[in-house]
Amino acid sequence: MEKLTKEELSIYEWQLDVPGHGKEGQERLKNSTVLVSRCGGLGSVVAYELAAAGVGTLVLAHAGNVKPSDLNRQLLMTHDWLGKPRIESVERRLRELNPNINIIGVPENINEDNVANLVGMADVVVDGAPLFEERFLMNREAVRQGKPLVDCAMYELEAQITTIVPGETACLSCLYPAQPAAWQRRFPVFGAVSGTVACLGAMEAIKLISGFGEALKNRLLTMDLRTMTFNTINIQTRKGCEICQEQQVS
Amino acid sequence: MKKEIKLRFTAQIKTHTGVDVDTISIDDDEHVQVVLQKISKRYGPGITSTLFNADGSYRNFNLIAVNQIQVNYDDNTPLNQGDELMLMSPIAGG
Repeated sequence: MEKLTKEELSIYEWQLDVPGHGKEGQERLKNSTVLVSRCGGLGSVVAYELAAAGVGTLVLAHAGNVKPSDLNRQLLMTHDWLGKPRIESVERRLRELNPNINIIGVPENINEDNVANLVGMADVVVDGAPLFEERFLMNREAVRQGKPLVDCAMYELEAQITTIVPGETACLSCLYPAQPAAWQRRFPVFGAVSGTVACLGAMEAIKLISGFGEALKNRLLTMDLRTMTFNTINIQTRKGCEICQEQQVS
Repeated sequence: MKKEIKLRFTAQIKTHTGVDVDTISIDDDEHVQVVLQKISKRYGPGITSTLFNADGSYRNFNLIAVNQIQVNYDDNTPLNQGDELMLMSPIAGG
């Protein structure tokens, strides 16, 4: 395992003092790889926090060019990059923040062709994709490969997050056996909502890698920022879940 | 004897119901499945098509929680006076 440099010991000084983390936990972060699916409202902030925390390698998947309507929440996109590839904006902003980490930018969204390879590169996956096809695909592959997946989602002033650990917890398909019949690709939301749940998602990834604290296993944290109501729903593996059954068989 | 059940709706389901909390009255022998049918009748076609197919079978893409514990529609979980049923539609990123 690669050790921390003198410079890194200085940069991460404040978090090295977090009980349960320390130098060993920081070295685990340095030697880890996290895949973030899409760097939109959620993934931008997840990636930013993980880069700041010193996760050694970030694999970031996001297609398309920066649009004006990205700018209220996708905090790694900037006005000067309108019309240019989003992933370039993401890489540029993250390198400004932390030039010591490896950033692997993939100018594609998760799809059937790339999901196995991308998940295979990661120790932990964080999902912030807007389409359920991508989310269920990521869930299937993470469970298949036994990789923890932090699932973050938002709508209007609401958000939810859970951490899926294959073999230990419910998966996304346990919660929602079928894809919703109608999902509006564009929905109301503030960047502060996506940023809130994204920071929680980054914290989940950090805890999983470093090995301290209690992850949101079999718990779905829901929040309504309109009323500042937070709830924890106890969730469970669903009998007959095809995704979990496939993992048990293999 | 009637039981009062608290209802809580989130995300897109809330846009169909127009409210995020409500209460509903059920008979002693009525469980989760009856509550969902009553919700369908009370709030109209938007919520009905979210919950049920045209043939009346349940559309299995919502999360149901009773007192903050996930339950399965097929289990038709019994309810007690004052229980809270939370109905959540899946949400995503973006």
